[in-house]
Amino acid sequence: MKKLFNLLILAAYEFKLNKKLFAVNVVICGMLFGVMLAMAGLACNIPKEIQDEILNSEFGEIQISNIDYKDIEYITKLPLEIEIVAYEMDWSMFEESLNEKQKEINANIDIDTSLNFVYYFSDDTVEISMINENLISGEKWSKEDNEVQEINPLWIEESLAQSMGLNVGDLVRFSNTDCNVDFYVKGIYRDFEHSLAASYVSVKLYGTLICEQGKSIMIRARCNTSPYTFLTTIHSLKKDYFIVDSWGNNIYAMFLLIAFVGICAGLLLLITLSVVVDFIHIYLNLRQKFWAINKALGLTDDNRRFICSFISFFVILLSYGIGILLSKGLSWYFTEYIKTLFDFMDLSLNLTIGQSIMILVCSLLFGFVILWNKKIDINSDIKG
Amino acid sequence: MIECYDIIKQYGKDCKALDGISEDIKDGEFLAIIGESGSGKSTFLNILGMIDTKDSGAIMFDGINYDDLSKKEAAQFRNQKLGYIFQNFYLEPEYTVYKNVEIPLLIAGYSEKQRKVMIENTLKKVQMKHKINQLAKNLSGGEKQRVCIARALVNEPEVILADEPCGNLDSQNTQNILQILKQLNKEGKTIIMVTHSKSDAAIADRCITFKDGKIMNEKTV
Ligand SMILES: Nc1ncnc2c1ncn2[C@@H]1O[C@H](COP(=O)(O)OP(=O)(O)OP(=O)(O)O)[C@@H](O)[C@H]1O
Ligand SMILES: [Mg+2]
Repeated sequence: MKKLFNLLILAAYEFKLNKKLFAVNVVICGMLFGVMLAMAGLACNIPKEIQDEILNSEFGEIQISNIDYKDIEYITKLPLEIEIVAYEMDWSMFEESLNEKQKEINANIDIDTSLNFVYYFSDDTVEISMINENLISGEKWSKEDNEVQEINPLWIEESLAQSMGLNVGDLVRFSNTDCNVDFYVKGIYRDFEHSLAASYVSVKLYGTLICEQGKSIMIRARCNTSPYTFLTTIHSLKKDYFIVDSWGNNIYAMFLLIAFVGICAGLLLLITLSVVVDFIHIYLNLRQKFWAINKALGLTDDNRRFICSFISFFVILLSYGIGILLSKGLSWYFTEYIKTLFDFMDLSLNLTIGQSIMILVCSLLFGFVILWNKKIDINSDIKG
Repeated sequence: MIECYDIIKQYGKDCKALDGISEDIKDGEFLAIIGESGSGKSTFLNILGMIDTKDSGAIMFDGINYDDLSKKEAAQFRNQKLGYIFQNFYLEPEYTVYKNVEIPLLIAGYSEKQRKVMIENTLKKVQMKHKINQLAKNLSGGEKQRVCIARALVNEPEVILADEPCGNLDSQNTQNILQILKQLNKEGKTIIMVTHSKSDAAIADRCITFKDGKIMNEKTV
């Protein structure tokens, strides 16, 4: 312990002796730290602000005529909380249209239109029979004549399911005089208007109607997950058939920018730390002889590394202090700029104390690990 | 105290710096090593001082084999048991006399109080106490060498290795340094001194001559 303390005294002597070199180091790294911390402040705080903006906002739309079962399934799998909302929807017209459709269905049950059949089922001519056998992986149904046929998924309203005693996974056959259609119960939903599970049936139904009215359905995304999820979701939506509106695109671009800023901050941190290490190299080169003499006096390589690590600690601490001050100024400037640009009222881009300390600890650890590396050793010896 | 058996040190293919040196140095002895330039004197001293490594042979110091020491133990050994005086001083020019002498004590782990007492006492011995706060670069050659001796002494080592301690000094300073070394020898320290000059060697108890990496003759003064 006493020995370590003594080594610190030696480190202090050396720091004092080479103060000009280390002062240059501190100034350079202080500025780098300043910019880095300001950028990290941006990267850490802006997403929080944007996340508030994302909540409960729509970021795109979809042309309903394109949608099919696979799309709905796809949407339900998105990590965002998504609602499909039809604005200006005339529900009475919707009902009417459904009734008409029901007539059609009764006349000719085919797979496409029968999907909503069970919901509005009222006709005595249709029989429902439950078949809980030969269900192969939920999607295929092998008939008695060994013909393999695709089974239609079906969402069913809760009270109806209860009255018919249906559970998820059950097989249901609807039959009238003309034909049979088999379904398996994919889901049971409670709320017709808002449940995504119901979307397939409902979207199919009012899709036609809305298209007739020349309207589209909005996708409302709630980003209560991470901004990263938001980014990836928008990215995959864009790849497909969704039209992301300009708001969504702006947010998307903003996130990309922030991510870029974050990466730059990380790189800058690495550059800053490597500057510290470079300066230690320069210092060791200047002081080769001194350390060689000390080696002859009984100083081990580990002792020297300890001293160099400590000096680098000190340099990092000092430059971090300067960096914090500098970043306060920069953050203030950024804040003013972004506030007016994006209408964020009480925006603060300063890092929290916890974040600052975390970056500092990382820096110190990095300095320690790098300087403990044997490559930095000097390899000159003195000979009497 | 120090027993050397058949030490060989070779640089490159042809240059045998040491060619089978065997020597027994007794406790409290003042040994002088003379020889022509390039005869391997410094190499021998460096190997004794663990600053250099040997190719083969063995060295026993008070029953401790050099080869058995780990790097860390060797460093500690150098620090505690050996004091090294260099021909060209190797003081840190920007440090004060005090700090220069302090370094071995810092390495050894003495407390501030202990360090102060030890440094002052040692500097008194070499008559350098009055320059204690002067920067080493401002000292004269003789003064530098005395500080160098103080640094070698301060840890109370058992053996002092001096490589041409008077090589860069005028006759007045040479006498001064030799007297200090003699005094230390009287106080019980074992001293091994490499020198060019036969007259300097006269102060020693025993003198050996190196030639081409071998010991030529031996005479007791
Ligand atoms: N690092 C080295 N690499 C190659 N050869 C070396 C090295 N050090 C010493 N030598 C050679 O070893 C031989 C002995 O050198 P050493 O320094 O021991 O001589 P010396 O007796 O001290 O001479 P001087 O009186 O000039 O100091 C010399 O021939 C020298 O050239
Ligand atoms: Mg020599």
